Amino acid sequence: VADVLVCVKRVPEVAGEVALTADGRDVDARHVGYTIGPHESCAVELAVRIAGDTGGAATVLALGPDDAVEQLRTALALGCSGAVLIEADPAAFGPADVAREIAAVAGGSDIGAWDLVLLGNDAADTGDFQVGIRLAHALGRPVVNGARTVEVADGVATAHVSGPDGVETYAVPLPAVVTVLEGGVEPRYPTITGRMKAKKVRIETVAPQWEPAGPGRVRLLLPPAQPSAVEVLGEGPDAAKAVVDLLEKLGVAR
Amino acid sequence: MIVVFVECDTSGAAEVSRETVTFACTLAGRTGAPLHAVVVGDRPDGLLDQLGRYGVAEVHHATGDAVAAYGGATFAAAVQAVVATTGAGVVVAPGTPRGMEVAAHLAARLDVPMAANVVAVGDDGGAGAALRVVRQVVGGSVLEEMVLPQHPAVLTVAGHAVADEPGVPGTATLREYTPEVAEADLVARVVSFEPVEERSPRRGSSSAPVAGRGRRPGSRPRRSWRSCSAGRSGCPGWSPAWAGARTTSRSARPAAASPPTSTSRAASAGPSSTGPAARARGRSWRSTATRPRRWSPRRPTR
Repeated sequence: VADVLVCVKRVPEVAGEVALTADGRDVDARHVGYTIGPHESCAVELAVRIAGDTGGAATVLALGPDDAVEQLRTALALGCSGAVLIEADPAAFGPADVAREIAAVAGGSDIGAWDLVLLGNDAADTGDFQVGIRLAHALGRPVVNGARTVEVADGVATAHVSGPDGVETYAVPLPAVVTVLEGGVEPRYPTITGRMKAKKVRIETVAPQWEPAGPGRVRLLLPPAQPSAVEVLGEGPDAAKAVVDLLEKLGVAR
Repeated sequence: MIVVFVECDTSGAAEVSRETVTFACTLAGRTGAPLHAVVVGDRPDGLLDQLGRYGVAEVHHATGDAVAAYGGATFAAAVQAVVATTGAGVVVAPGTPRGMEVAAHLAARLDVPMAANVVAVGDDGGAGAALRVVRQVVGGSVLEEMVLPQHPAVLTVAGHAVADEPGVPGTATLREYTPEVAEADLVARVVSFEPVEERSPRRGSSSAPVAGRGRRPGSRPRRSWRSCSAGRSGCPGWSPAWAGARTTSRSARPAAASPPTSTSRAASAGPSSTGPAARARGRSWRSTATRPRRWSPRRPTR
């Protein structure tokens, strides 16, 4: 039996042009929805699979505002059986603060104890690439980073990671921390039954344990717009020679 | 002192690592700090000369059984040993999955902040002051100005954000050492490895693109692109051989032409816009999406 805690983050579902708030300290998400990142979607899928395979339970955790309940209920609808919300303003928390707060819950709190903690490889908005590793250090547990798939058997978590030259396999004893990279599993869709069940699950809400040090953010900037690189080579059959010259220059045609 | 963690492949420093060393060299030139590099595990021939051209004064080469196989914590322990020896004020790593992992382990061990995917460093206000960096967030759509108040400042450089520009010829000196690695750091290491199968080139990938879809008995001989372009591109029966033109695709290139680097797509940490998770992300589109038309090659008219 392996009980799994999977950590998710409520992030703006930005696509295309991104707008910033007037003070330039955050992404303006008034006109976009919220979601969880692609890596975390795969982490939730893996958590549900592992819990199902081993007869354990999957619990989802988020640090965020009260609205983050929406993301927790989504994960519950996908098969998680419990949810924990650390209610706080995420903008005030840096990656080290987040890891410390998760460790306070995951490291043997009244809420529960978990054999395996799964996280996304990096947050879709801040892209810090470090919460999972800091969490493992805080808990004193081994950590595997960027796993595509994870299996648990006989008290050992086996994770497969796409390395620079091939697929690497890690085998770490439980309890452990694994950060998940998207692409290894196909996240499932919530069922109507799952959504109905998710509405009834009680969400444990806890307050942060420490004053956050902050993310060190000064301001956000939009990158300068790239000038158009389109060059019209010509029109009609007359353009053919120029096209061929370009293809030869690119090495496409000889 | 600036210390840069360098990943290597068989030919020397990997591409993103070379960019990172260029970035660190620029920073070193601005601050007047010496630049050292850390290489863990195998050291390719000619690496000292290669890194010397980027202004690296000394290469610290970690060896030993503990670092024979990759492990984020063990490699970070090797870098941490150099930081302790040199008193480095800035540690720079490439923005690759391994570079990120090693930097994150190092930052956690030293209990200092870390900035990922840095593209520029602002005015640091003099020695000992907080380092101001600009880094990519929201998948590169937004830049964040961030302060790293503690030393050493740990940061990773975003891949392909900096041009790989070696400077004057030079040679770095070598210092080999065996880092002390705790038992706990050895727990999460690569236990087995399966190399990626080399993709066989697609049919026609090595041949020049030709006009027409091949010659059948009694048909006219093939024409090259050039012959068609010489005032005859509109000739009846002409159509490009798209099967041959597939040589332009990345997947059809011979494996030898693209040496495995940590910037390969498989190793990329960035979110894919075409992966299954992205499809899940955009599931609201699915209800309105139309079925894509199957592409079929245009057959030449006779």
